[in-house]
Amino acid sequence: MKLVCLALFTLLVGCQDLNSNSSDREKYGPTSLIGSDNFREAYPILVKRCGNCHTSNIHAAWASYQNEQTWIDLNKIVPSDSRNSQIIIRTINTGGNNANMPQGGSAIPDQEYETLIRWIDNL
Amino acid sequence: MKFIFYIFFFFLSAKVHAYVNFIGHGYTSCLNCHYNPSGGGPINDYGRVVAATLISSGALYPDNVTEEQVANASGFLFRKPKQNFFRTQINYRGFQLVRDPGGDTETKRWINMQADARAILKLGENDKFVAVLNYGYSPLPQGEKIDGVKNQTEWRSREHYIGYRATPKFGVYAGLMDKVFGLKTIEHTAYSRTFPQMTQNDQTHGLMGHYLADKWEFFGQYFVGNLSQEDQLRQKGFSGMAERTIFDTHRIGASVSQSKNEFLQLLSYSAHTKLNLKEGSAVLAEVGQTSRSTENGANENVGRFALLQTYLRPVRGLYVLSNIEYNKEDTKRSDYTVRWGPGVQYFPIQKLEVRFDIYNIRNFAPDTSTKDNWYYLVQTHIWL
Repeated sequence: MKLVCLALFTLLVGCQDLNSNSSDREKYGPTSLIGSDNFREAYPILVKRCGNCHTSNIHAAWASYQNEQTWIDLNKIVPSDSRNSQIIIRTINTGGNNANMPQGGSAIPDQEYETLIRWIDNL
Repeated sequence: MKFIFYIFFFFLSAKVHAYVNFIGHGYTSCLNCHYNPSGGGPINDYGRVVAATLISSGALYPDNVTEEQVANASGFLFRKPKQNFFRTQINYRGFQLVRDPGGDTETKRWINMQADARAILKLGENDKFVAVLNYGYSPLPQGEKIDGVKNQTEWRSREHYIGYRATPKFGVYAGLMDKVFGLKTIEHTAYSRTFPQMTQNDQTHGLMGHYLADKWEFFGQYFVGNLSQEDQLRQKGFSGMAERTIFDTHRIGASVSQSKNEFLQLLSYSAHTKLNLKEGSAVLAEVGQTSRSTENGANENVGRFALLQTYLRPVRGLYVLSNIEYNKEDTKRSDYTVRWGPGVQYFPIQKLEVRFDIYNIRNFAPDTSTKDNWYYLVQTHIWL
């Protein structure tokens, strides 16, 4: 009986598998981006500056949002209105009261930040 | 009055975890209290008694309750086990997270961090054979379902392994366990855990060897990732850690870990120390770096991290903490981040922990000035 129990334990496999690597394909593998040219420039910045925390392990997996429309549907951006887009409002660069992203990280470099704004404002 | 006390005691029964800082009580090796020699997971009978009589405060017990009675109540459901081959534990951790406290954008959220059930089968003299299962609740990221991610259940196995100690000095373990690397601090979001991907969900299937000599302790682990995850995403590789006891009561150590999946390669090093300041007080420190190399060339960098924690125990059951962390995401850039803050950890009775932490995050960059982030946590940790 004891041995049976022992065997049962060893056969069990976990169910949820979310971990630090769940978004590696989207972040580091080949991408299939659907959207404007500005989105193709903005997406790597979002993955690089936000993707370490916005993974399926901690938050929603932003690297998997490879369709520009997803960012609009999820209210992360407001087309043509970067000032009222969450990813701009929340970033440290704005200096606003609600700005604390990337959390635990540095502000997004100016050139990259302008790329994000250009992407949104040209939608 | 006694009846009320015992009813209160019954409903708030808990098991105390052992933590890295318990080197302050003279425990240089985690094997003293844990079935897993690298620490974490369920604690053994000795660990339960230590937690009940040394770690927890006795202030709430009536005067006529002896230490022996407290120790005898350290088992599951406060009972002294009647057999020697099976143990079980239930564990819950939840906390209130408050961001930007007192500010215009203050947010509050209660998070049910953990709710586990644990079963341990132990056979042979001195627990020569063990089989451990740790299964429980793991919240999905902020309640969102992630497209394309299989197994979006909120239940997972955190550990399931078998272990065999061929001798008191040497053991092998096989199954799903944490990776062996650095200080296994309870703060799973510490930079020293997130950078090398040693967080609370990064358990891996593998084989671990452990050797405990008089002053040395060695770990070697080969792993193949979590078998619940699809093969391309699993980090496969090895990790190793060596620690040495110095001046009889302190430990210094070094770790290395190398792993890769189809998209990302990681190479991490760290050095750490655990200093016993006596009477339960301790200092923990770790420095390290992680190199990332990716299939698509994005996010290739070398990042560095550091951690310094002090635990001061003014009275039994109470620990006053301070925590300072450093994070440099990319050594090619000049910006870096410091997170710091005080905390208080209190074990009012056995099997119950309450904890309060404040955190400040400050970014340092040559061309940018940004506001600090503030948040605090009020945590409850209860076990049966």
